[in-house]
Amino acid sequence: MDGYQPLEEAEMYDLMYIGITVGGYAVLWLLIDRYGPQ
Amino acid sequence: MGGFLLPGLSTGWTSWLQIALYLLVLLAAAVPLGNYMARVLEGQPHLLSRAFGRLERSIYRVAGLREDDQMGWKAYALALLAFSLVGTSAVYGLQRLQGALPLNPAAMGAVPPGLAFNTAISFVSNTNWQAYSGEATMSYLTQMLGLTVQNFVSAASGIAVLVALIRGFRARQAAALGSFWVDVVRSTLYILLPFSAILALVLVASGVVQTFKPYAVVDLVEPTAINQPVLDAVGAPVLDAAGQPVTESVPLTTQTLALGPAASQIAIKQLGTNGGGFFNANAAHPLENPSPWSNFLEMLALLLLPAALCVTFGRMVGDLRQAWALLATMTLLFVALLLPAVAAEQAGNPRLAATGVDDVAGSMQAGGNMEGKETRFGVANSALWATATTAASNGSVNAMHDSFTPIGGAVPLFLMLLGEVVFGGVGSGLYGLLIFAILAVFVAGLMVGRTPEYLGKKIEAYEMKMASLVILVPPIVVLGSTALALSTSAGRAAVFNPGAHGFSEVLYAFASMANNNGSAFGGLGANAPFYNTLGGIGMFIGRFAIMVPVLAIAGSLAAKKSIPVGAGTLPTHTPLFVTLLIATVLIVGALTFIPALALGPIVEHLLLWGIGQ
Repeated sequence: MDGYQPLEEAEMYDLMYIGITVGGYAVLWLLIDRYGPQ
Repeated sequence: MGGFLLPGLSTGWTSWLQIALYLLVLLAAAVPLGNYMARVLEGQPHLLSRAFGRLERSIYRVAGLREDDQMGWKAYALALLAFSLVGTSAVYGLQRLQGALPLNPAAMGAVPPGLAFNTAISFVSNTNWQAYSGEATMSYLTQMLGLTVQNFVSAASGIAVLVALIRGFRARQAAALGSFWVDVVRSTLYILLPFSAILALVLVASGVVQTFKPYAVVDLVEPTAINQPVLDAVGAPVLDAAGQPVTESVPLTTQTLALGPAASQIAIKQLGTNGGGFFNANAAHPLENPSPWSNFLEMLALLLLPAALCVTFGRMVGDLRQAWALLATMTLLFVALLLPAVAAEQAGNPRLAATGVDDVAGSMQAGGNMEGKETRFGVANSALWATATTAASNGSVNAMHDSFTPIGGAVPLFLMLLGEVVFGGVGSGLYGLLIFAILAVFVAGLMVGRTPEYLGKKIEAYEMKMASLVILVPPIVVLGSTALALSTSAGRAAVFNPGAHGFSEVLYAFASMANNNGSAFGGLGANAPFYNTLGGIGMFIGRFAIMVPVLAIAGSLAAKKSIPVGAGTLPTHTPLFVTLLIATVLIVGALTFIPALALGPIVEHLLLWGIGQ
């Protein structure tokens, strides 16, 4: 398929996007824990 | 043309008849369905409890759950986030590994990381923004196991958050909001799965494709020829003496027809307000939406659950009058915005008419602006779908919104910018409107100097702070992202049209993503790292940074005692309150977005019709 990168070349981007995703959920998680009413 | 009821007659009155019939069937079906869903979500005996009760209990047993498990709002929110994180990871992994996995007859390679990220967030957040073309990017396995599964569970998550909010309103000094897991299982097992199965079968009977066979190569009815460059041994174009590429005429006698298990995905993408098409052309594709009959069914499915959930809400709070007030608010806003959309599309394009093109409706044509529309749907059913799909946070399309007239395109855009509360997403539309209802009673309370209350619960500072977050987060994401896109070369590089229309394309894209709609205006090269990354983040925030404050409100309300209705209580089931609620939604939307709309569709409309020139 044109424009498709083999998996090996994309590992850095994989890490970046996994980091953004996990980071996003983690931020929300922390906000809930810190600022939500009991 | 344009009519499934009385084809061949003039579009004028048959269009309005079809629209009236659509609304009538929708509202009539919403009542029994809403009653049924209330029984399901309350855990009461219902139509399917005997058939699937054992399966439900088995799921709880395997998962170590109990039907009567209870969660506080924090546990509920954390379960939601954990569930979504697992879903995002699974969809991302499936896309990246699909080349090595089965059910991939077209031998699709790995989806690039940026696109996989965008698509994973898109489907987990119930957005279904598609920066890819389904038939050219996704394997059957990815479509079924990744995207379709998320269509079910993201809709179920929306219902779960709504149910938690309802329990917050009716609880009396309690911390418990029910169990997220039980709510998701019941929503999926008893509501989404059975109705999707029925709709999928009806769609197959109507001509929608459902197969595991590989793409078909078929003979063209009218063989043709194309000119293509002649290539040398290393694949470079051969040039003539003048340096121009040498071309040759190549006969074309066959074409490849993309197939796949489409009907099963289309049923839930309509019912679950997801909207992601199996094929790139979405519901304009003849194998996804082949006839005016399938079009009617798919449009009905599009608004059915959001409308029915109003009735469910009324049942669960024990006051159906509240349900009618919310349903009336949604329906009135919907009709008020549908009318200009249909009228603008039927009025056509004056520049085109000036060239002598006949755009008058008649027995042989729908007339009006037919650019980007399917002749089997015509103007009315295209404008109705566009309005319904953006009123709901569905986002499927049966016509190209980019080709709508400026006002016709402004209606879907404005509906998304209102926050997807006019029917809205499954669950998310109603909890969004309930937040506006809280704002409305707060404003009314300020007017008379009395602590506002809604459904017997005092609305105080904490609820208003959270409600403000819910209302303000999407506009911040939409306007901030649009400004960023237009002020950076990476953002501008993807815009295909200049001027006001190009601005509308960018604004529409971020309105669609941040409000979890997913429809595309078109005219934007969205499959680029800038849009994939920024849009993915926007969809995440637009979904979960809304759900969490809603659950926080639910938790806060649940802990309060119920106040009996008194002489000073503002009735929230009256026409006066419906008017107040409509005004609140419109004023917040207008104050936030009129300047942006003025730079896009409004100025484009003035230019098109030569107003003020």
